[in-house]
Amino acid sequence: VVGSLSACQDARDVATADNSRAGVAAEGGRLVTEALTAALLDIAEALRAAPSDAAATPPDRDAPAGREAGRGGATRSLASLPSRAAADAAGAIAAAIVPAVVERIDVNALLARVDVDALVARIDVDRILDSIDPNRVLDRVDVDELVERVDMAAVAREALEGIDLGDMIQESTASIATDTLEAIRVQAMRADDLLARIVDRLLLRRRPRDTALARRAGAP
Amino acid sequence: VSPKPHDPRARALQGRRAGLASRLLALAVDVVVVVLIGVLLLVVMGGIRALFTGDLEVQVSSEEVRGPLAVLLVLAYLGYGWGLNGRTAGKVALGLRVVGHDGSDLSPLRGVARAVLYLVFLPGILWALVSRRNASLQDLVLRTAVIYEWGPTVATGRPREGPAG
Repeated sequence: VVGSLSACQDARDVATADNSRAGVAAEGGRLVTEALTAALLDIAEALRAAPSDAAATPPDRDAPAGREAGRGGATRSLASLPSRAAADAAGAIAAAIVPAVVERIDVNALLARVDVDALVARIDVDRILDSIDPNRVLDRVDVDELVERVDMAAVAREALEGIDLGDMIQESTASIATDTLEAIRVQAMRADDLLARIVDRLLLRRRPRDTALARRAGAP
Repeated sequence: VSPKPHDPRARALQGRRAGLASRLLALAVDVVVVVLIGVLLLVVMGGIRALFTGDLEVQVSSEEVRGPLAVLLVLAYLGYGWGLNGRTAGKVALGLRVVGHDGSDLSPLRGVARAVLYLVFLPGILWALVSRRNASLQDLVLRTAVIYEWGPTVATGRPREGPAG
């Protein structure tokens, strides 16, 4: 196994070293594949041998506990040797394979196959938001420092530029003046009416005043 | 100046003869305006005189000059306002207009004559309180009337004599 792994390592080094040259890169890839195949075969062999070794020396349940415990532990450590080697080998292979595989992956092509909408649809945003405590988040924000970092003068200037203050003042002033004038006129009209009625009552007049203008001769 | 009243009653009264309260208020505004114009004229004249004498003096020197000047100013102000389009500043403010008894525009001469009558006997305006047609003594003499007319578009609905203004 170790021999296979070192071969695999060599092949990967060759592949990495030659990777810059496109022509040799394919050769490097082939070497890696061969080395990996050999390593995997060795591992498979080792794993096949391991269970039979372990089964050959099963722990004797009828034996006295103290003595048997020592013998059984030794047997288990012997039995675990192949699997430990396999685990080491698998780790080493993974370390060898992953960079080579990652180099070969076309991330864009991978992403193109992912249905992002479906992915997003599976996310329960409300549940995430419910789990967030805004007060805790806000407690961690230094508002004073935040405000200090804002250029208030520039913000105010920009806001004022957006508002046509002159027009606004002119419109509101004109509106106030118009309303005030109208109110004064209406009050004056009421006073006219009130005065006329008081005088008419004092003079014992029964008919209301004739405030309409005379019709001009020839007018429609 | 709003061309049309929002108040329905005020709208209904457009073109009707105005009562004493409105007319007195308009007169008060006119008095203030005439006084302001008089002060302004005195300052301007004082300034012009100061250009030659180097001494700014606003006071008109003699009583004999001051009286006729004041009369002239009032006549010019009232006659101009009423004779031109029936409105002095006070009448514009209160939404009033001086017209002939049939709603026609006053001629400039009639406007000045009305101003003279008011100068001669101002209390004549109080007759509007008693008159069935809200007419002052001057209105009765010159066959004029003061009507509510807030804007140029709210007229009596009758064509006017003379140039529109």
